[in-house]
Amino acid sequence: MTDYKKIWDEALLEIEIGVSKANFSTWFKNTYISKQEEGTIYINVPSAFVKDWLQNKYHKLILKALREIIPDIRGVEYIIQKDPQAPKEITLETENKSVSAQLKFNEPYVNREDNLNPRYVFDGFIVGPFNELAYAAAQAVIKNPGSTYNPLYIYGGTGLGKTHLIQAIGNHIKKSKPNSKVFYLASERYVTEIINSITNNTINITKEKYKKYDALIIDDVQFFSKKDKVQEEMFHLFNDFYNNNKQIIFSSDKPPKYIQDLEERLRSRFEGGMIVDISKPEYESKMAILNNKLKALNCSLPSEILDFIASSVQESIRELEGILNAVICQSQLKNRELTVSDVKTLLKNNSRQQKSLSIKDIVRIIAEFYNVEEKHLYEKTRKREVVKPRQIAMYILRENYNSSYPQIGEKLGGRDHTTVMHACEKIKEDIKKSDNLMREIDQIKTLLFGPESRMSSAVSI
Amino acid sequence: MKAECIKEKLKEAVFQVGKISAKNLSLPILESILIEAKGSEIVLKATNLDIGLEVRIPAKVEKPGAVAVPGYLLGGFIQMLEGDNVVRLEAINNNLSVSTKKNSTLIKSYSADEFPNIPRVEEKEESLSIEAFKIVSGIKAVSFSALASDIKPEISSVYIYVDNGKLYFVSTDSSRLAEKKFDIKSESNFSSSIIPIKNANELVRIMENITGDVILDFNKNQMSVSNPQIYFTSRVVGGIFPDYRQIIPKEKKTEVVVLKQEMVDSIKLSSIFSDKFNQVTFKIIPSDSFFEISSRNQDKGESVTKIDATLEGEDIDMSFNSRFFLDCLNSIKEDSISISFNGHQRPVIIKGIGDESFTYLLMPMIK
Repeated sequence: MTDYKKIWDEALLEIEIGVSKANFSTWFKNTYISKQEEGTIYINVPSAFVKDWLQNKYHKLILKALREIIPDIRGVEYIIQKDPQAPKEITLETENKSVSAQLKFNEPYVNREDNLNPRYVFDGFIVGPFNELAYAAAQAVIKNPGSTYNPLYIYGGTGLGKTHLIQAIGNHIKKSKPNSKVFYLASERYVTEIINSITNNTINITKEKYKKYDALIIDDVQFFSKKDKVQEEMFHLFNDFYNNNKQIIFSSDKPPKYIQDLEERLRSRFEGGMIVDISKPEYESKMAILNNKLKALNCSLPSEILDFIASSVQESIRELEGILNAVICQSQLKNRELTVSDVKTLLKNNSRQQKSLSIKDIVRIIAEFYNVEEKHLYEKTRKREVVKPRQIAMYILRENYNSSYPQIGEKLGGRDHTTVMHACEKIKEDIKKSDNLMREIDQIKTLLFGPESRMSSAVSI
Repeated sequence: MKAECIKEKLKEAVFQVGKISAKNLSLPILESILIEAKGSEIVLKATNLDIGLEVRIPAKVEKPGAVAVPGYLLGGFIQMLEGDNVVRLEAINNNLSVSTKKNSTLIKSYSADEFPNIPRVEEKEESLSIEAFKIVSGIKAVSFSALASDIKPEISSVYIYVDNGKLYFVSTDSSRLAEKKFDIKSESNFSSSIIPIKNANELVRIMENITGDVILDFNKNQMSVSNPQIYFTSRVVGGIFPDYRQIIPKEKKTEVVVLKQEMVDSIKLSSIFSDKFNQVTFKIIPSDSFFEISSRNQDKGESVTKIDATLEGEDIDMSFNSRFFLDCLNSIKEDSISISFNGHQRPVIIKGIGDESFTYLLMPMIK
């Protein structure tokens, strides 16, 4: 590599002879050579004033000085480079801190231009069997944005690191290709923006705004459900990106197939690239995450406590981190190391109670869903509108609550266990044939367990 | 160069550009004002290599040309020049001769070639047409909040951006933040720019007496504000203004509505007895309709003032920098203000009642 600094210093010596001292110090301060391309030298200058002046007054002098060092130079270009690396005066900052009791705003962390949170990088990302496919896909996207997997669609339950992963992709693309414009947004924000621009009649401006990006990352696309106009805009935007080989990354809590009321053309586009899931972390990954987090916080905890946390927290990484923070906070508060039993009580207070439903509740919810009277499900009627909900109730009790066949039969109006077995088999078969039924069962599960669990159960079907 | 113009116009223009041509020891030409006669006008230019300014005045030009005159000399001289309405300017051997019927003066000048060009905003990326008073009042309403030191250039600035048909002006020193917004009539491709606070204040001074629309042009290095008579250009700050919208609290836990003047008087009074950090304490108990401002200084004494106000929500016991609090009240024209608290040691929002255009966000102090 050519030593530009040396070249420029030599040239400056030559130039200094030709201009007055005042001029030299005013116009040549903070200038340096940034690159050389095909006989043209590019000089970085601090402002437009300097650029104009060097170009009009000293161009020949500079060219001559440079030619003496590198004879085959044909031209010199000037580039305005803002804020040359001025040494930051840290002393003043600390001084400020000590004198005033004035509080400051929490540092807003997100970068406004691309919305990415710089905290999310691959360095702190733990890869385990639960997410290695997603991680591999992300790495492939980084290598060839826009071509390998486009779009990349990552789904998984809440708090499993989807946002971390997709933002890390964005941050990485930004770092490796500083000129490419990456933009991250939550789907909800896109929805509001589209709605606002429709009311303000500025839809074209919004369209153009997104088209200028080179990579787009949209989080939680399941919220596009039922929003027809937004879906339409998304469709056009997607096509524009796809046709120009620009990377798009989506995340969602469920696969495209299971997003309700999603237009077919958009669904098929979501499915057109690579779909990967992130599942729940297994024990080893959880331990790795805990250790990593501890390292970041610069604390340590006894291994039996870590072991206990990792084995008792089932749901999500977010929850895992929450519990870890609580444990650290408690031990700092009490000023001693916590025992396993301390952590146990803490977990009891902090972790979400498993929603407990009785068989009666389940039957009631299913009956309400199909709009039949609850008592009919327990009776011996064989009307079609009652039989189906009854069979679904049996199926859900069997699949999701692991109840035994005889038990289910007895609870649902004293039926024989073979009846129950038949019902479960039948529903299982029917699901394979009918998308409608699958969706109905999905909706029932949402009613029963809340939206998060639908994902995992949907996959198990 | 040979030209004639109206004295008052010349005086005003020299006064405008003279402020920019500050003392510069390393390059004396920067102390000068460039007088350029061409077509049917005289253009006066000055720059400190951070800001550039041009002012045009109508003139009868007999011979085009240019000369660079020391700004302080020309300024001081033209202030005192009495009598005649018409001034004759003429370049004689690179010096400037100024003559009226009663007086004739020769000012030693520099060669015009030495004077730097004032760069235009090349490759205009973004531009916006707007009433001049909006720029002036927008910057004025927020500039006091900008960081005074230049450790962090991106907040030692006024941040200007357009969002949803509104033009925003924002400044913060990370303990407080002021935001002012205006409707803009025209659609524009302008998105955002950060102007150094010093240059923004200079812009206010220059634009203060201008009526009508001006055009704002931006690219990533430079911005300009212009109309047919004036061209102002400044560098812009690289870097990114913090995404401040995140820190504006969405809900409020305590709300106080109070007369602005009463607030000003009470805080001023309390601040006499505040400590060296200007700390005054607000104590609010809505259920008892109780609101008092107190201060205590070990050497001077202490003071408590009760205030009539409409109070709602949770109790408050928090301290503020009295100067920071008073600052924002200058930017509020309304009679009464609302102060919204959002829990202990969280930022408060101060607004004029019935005015959504100005928002002030202030962090409390640790007692």
